[in-house]
Amino acid sequence: MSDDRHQFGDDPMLDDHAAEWGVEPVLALLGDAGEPPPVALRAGVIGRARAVRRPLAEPIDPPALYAARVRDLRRLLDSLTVRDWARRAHPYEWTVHGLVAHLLVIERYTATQFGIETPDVDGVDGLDDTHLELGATTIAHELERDPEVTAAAWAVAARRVVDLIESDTYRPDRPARLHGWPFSQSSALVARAFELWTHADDIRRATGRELMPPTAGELRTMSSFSVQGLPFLVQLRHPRAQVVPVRIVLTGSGGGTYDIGGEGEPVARLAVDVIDYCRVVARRIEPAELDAERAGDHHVLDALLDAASLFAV
Amino acid sequence: MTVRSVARRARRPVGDLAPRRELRCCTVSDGIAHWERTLVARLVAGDDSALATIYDQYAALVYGIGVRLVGRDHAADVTQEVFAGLWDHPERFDATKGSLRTYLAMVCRRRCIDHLRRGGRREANERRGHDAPLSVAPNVDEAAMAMIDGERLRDALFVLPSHQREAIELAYFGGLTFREVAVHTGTAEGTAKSRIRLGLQRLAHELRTADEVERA
Repeated sequence: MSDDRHQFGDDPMLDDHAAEWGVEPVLALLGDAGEPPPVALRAGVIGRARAVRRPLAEPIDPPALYAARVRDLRRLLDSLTVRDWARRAHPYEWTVHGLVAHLLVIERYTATQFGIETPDVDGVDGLDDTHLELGATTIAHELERDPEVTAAAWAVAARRVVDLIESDTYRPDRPARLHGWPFSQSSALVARAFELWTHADDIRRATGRELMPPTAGELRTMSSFSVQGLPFLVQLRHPRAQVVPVRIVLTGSGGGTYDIGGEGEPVARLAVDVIDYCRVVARRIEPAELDAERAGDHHVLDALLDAASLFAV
Repeated sequence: MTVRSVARRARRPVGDLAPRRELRCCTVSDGIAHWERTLVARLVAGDDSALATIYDQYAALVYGIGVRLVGRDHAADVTQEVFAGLWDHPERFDATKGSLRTYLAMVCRRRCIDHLRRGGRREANERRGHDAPLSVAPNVDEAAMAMIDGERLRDALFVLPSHQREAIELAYFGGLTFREVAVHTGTAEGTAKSRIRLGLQRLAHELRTADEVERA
């Protein structure tokens, strides 16, 4: 703050830029009170805003999203050094090499669920197919090999999924059960893209690299998929719960405003950065640690955030 | 606690997060700046309830400026334009350059000046229609300032020490920047700024006193 500012004291009417913007005299002369506008004007202003929705980033299609996340991870793996592969990939016990071996298993598992012929994945029970228990034998085998060989095997498995979803045989509505969840192929791709982004960030964090946010369109696809599923997830977590109207505002590039839980005035509102929200969904941020603006009933919001990470595996 | 039991207790709509009066009596603090940044981020995300909160906070300011600059008949239109502009282009507000309050006042002033210009052109066209000679384009800043209860303002200006009055006249009527005022008056920029600011404080005080006397 400049000395000039101090000379002006604590007058709340003025800030440093009032003069620059040519409004200093107006603000000073107007005083604190202003003048209440006609009551009907508020409805006109808000009504127009509801009628003229702000343009938001266009979500991209799930196949393009998945393919983009595969490309991102592939570029990252290509850049790793020998030392990088040996680093611990929090929050797991695995090294980066072990995490990529896990991804190889999950990519093969996904391919199987999409009807693509692929090497068997051990640990598949056809029920829950517990995520972190799949492919223990494969992971152990991969850890005996060169990390670049594991990365190449992962890339081949991911490529086979990409080839399918970019072909005419891809059917977005066809069921693709993943880890017990009754996904369609389309929603399974979004969930998988989410996981690829999360693990890419795990690797970047482990190797001291800067985190790379997805594009606005990618974020919009992932976050809207997650937010719109929240009422369903809350009911899974609390089977007797009555879902109530809530407004979720995801700020930042790729964000948006979502009214979920039915019609009516929201009983609660959460405003949070879209990437932070996604990290809660991915269990990389605890809901209690989330830097968010909460309004209305906090218990409703707590229940939503608690349920938000149910998909995370 | 289940969501159902929570919902039973929570059947009231979500309200503003910041009490209005508390904000108005605060200095432009980090807290307010953060609150404003959050609101504008919500606007960018398309949350119309953020616009409602901003409207409730600043509509009286915007409308008040409108009334003083373009008169009561047009102040509502100007106010609507200001908030519509904020909704359509919230990214134009840069929190690093000042407060939302000042930004809205600036936009309102511009809208008022546009309005006065349009009015001036209309008047000129009407005169042309009657074969009247073309008049010089009005000094809209001056016209705007004149409408801030012109007579009282002029009286108040004469209460100021001459160096403060001169600095204010140059900055506002003359449209000079602080630096240009400093050059024009042969003073340091800091001195010019403080003359303007002290003069405005004094002006505001004089006008408030005049109001109180009138009311009494």
